[in-house]
Amino acid sequence: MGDFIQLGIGRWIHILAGIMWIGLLYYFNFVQVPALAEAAKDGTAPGITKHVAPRALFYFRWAALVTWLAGATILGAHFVDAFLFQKPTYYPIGVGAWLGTLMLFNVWVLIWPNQQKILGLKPATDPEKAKARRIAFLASRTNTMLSIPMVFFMVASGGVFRTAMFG
Amino acid sequence: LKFLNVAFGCDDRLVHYILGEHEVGALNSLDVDTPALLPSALRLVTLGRCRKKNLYAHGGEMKNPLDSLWGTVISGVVLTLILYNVVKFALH
Repeated sequence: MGDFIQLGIGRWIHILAGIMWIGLLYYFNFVQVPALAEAAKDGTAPGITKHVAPRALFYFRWAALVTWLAGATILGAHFVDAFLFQKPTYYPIGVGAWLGTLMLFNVWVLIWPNQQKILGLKPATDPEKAKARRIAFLASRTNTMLSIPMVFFMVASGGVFRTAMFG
Repeated sequence: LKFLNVAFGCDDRLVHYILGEHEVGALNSLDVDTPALLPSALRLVTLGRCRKKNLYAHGGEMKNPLDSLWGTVISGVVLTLILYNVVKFALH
């Protein structure tokens, strides 16, 4: 029963939340940022920043946390083995776990606080908003970059894909 | 020659020198910090300096690959290849 919850349900939740997190990350980077640049030209940008962005950010940041917690649940007793690279078996998932942790840090420490300033949820002067925009943008792009190896190592850490990639 | 001109923004005479087709003395008239004797490995360093100098001379700056979506994706793929090889090496 323990394995059913930890490895079965835990993995299921990890993947569901992960899809929402990374899906919204790709939405921001591949859709919303270019769309906002276009919308700024015809004055329709406030519609996105007022009605779409706050909702997307809500699911984005909480999905990030749920994904990480579910991942930690799956690792269970092997959490330290993975993060400290103590056993070769856990090297691939350890790299994936570190990348995911860096991404979670970016979401909660860099992206969300700066997005609050950009969207007017927190008071900020224009120069502060400009600085926040750049930091949030680069943190989001960094996460997009990190997501590529992160997904690779998550997938390559077990099953036939691991055998194919690492022997 | 054209590729080096376009890709690195090098002066023609410097390109000839980098390609080993020019006398070192011919560089005197160029405002480039180049060692008198340039082994092949240093030719690459010179190319880098050349590119940087060209960018600065035109008021430009080195671009951040994360500013473009393609740059971000390519950086992610390169990082994946690096990490994959590190882990593979550690496992064997």
